[in-house]
Amino acid sequence: MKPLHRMIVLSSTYRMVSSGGHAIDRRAGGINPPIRTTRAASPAVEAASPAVEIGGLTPPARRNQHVDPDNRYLWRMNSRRMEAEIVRDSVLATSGALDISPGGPETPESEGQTVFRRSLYFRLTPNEKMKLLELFDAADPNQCYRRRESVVPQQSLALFNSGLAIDRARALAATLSAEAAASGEPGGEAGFVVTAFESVLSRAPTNEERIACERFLTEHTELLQHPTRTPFAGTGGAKRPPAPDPRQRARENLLLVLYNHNDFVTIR
Amino acid sequence: MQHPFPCGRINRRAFLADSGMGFTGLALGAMLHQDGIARADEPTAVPPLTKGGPGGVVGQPHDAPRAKSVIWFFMLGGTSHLESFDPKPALDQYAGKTIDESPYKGAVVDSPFYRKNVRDFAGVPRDLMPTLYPTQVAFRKRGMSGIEVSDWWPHVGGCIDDIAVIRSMWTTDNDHAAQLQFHTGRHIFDGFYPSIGSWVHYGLGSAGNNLPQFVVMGQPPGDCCGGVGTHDGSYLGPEHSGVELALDPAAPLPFGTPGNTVTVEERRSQLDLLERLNQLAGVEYPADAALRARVKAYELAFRMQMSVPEVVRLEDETAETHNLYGLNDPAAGTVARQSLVARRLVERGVRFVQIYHGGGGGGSWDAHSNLKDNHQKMCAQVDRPIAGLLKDLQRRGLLDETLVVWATEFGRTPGSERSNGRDHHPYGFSVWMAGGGLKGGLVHGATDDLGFHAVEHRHYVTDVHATLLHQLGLDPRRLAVPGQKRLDIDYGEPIHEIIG
Repeated sequence: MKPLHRMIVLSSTYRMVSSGGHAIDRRAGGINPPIRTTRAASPAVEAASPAVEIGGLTPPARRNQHVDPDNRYLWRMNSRRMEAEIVRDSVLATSGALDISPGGPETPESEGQTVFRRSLYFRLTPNEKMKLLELFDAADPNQCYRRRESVVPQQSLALFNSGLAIDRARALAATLSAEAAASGEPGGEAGFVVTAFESVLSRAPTNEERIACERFLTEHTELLQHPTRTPFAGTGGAKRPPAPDPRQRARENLLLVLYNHNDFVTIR
Repeated sequence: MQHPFPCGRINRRAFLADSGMGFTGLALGAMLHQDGIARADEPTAVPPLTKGGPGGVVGQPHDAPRAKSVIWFFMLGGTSHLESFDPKPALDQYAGKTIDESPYKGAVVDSPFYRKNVRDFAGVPRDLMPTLYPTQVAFRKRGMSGIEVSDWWPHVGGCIDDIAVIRSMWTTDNDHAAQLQFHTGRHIFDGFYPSIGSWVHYGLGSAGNNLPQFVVMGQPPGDCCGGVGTHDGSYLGPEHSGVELALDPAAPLPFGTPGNTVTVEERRSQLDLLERLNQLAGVEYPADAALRARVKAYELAFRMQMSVPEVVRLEDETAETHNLYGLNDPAAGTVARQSLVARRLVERGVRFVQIYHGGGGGGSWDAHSNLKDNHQKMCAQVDRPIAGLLKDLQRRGLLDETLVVWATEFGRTPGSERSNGRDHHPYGFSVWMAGGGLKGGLVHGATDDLGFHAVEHRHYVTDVHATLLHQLGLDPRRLAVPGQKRLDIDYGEPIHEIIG
């Protein structure tokens, strides 16, 4: 199987970007020249070139979008949403908390918010499912069918409101601030934004993103100093209190936003 | 640090995506323009709809609607038509005899309808259950119309004058994936297609309030039988899928609150940043349905978390209303709460409320044995709440604009399954509809003397879809998306005889 896998993942078809049908290498900071697929595609479907872009799509990509909206001829990569276990594990891994020790007895699903083992090791039976995983279309323990990739508001609530997400964002903010202070190059809010993007989304922010986030940190710090505010009802699942310093709390809240970013759960 | 756009200028891609149609409307708006598809949602500049012509008014139905909302009860597992809405005295008369020994020999297996359309999951036809099994419950005439309803449905029977019973349904799946088929119109072998609720959501769009417009309660079918495919948007996109709602006012939605260490103001500010960041990162993906859906989902999630607890807080209702639905009845309590929440949802403008009963695995109505115990128990869970809902809608003047559907994936065999139960039966079965401008106190269609084949006014499941779409003012043939072919059978025909 390995040579086959190698052939698939090294093919130009597999390496195309999900946006417009050309190969991309973000590390190089730009878009590579177009790569025509070796697979015999429909003559109507062209390999896209990044020449002139309108509304985010190159003209060939726009034509392809019209001819083959479902991407049957693989003129671009399909975007996928992370599977449930990967969503949870990634929140933990990016905040440095994932326990990767292998094996051992299964962990009760009720401890999914507080025990940081890989999601794989939690109990999953017809009656005992971790809600967080279930919301992101975890596998049915009884049956062997294809998983679905739903997008529902409850997933948004889970990533914004779960104790896991809130606690990990707060913890990661503390770590990043401490690291910046220890390095002797605090870097200010701009430096924090870059580190935050790299930690959570594994990429640097674009200029526009960085500006938006810096403005958020400033305005949010002011907001948090405002005396009249309305707390949400209930106790929620978070165990870790927010930072008392408004500036640090704004950083925590920025990280939680990044955990909710579309790019966090999407594989391009 | 690289600084490609000095002075804080935005790049051209971002500008073009931001301007004009706006982010979420971009790809879809363009597609709608070029294909002239009528669909209601974002207030894009789709030209006004003229009857019979292309185009569409946003948020407007195709024709004058008679109904605004649908409440859709679905019994999972297969409710016996023979013990609910389709009495067959011949079963008692020839009980214990085989079909061949009865005068109806030939009427069953020689019928052109026998196995004509049925595609069996296992690949081999299900056995014919030849030994006729007597009706397990008495029927009596009810209401002014005198329609016979079984004694397991006394409360629904009491509302029969508001109900149009359809006794001539048929479907093509002889196994529980007929649950999926009833909602999508397609056999599971054909794959997954948009569910009826998602078509309504697609056609009428959001009324722009704080609640999801397609709400699902109860446990959905097991994955064997379509799973959440029965309320899924399929190729319409995930934003048209049903939103599952729980009844607990403290937590109607999982993760419904971040807790009191977080304030509403800071969350609002976070959401604004999130939307901006998704917008910036999404410039390269104007046609990404999942991204579009996720952006919407966050806004809706925030509004939902503020307004849903109020909807499921049933203490606001009087004790008399609680009693009407059977809220304190141990058997009926769950469906009673779901039904009352359903009324509160449609009062607040929600378009489609889908309530599953008996979910999980093949479904709890699946009485291969112990049919009497099973159906008695299952009916007691739903009869009073559904009737309570009909009465409550009626007295509030909501029944005219709310169409209530009661359905199940198939009926049960006239013959016994070599025991005290009945097998699956897709050849003829009953459903009913009420309100929303339909006639009441009416029986439409008929099965043969054994209750085997639907023989008069035969209706495939999509005729139910077409009927409710018609009442909502939507023309199924104009509900389409580019690149997705629909078949004649997908559209169905409205059941004109029951339309008032």
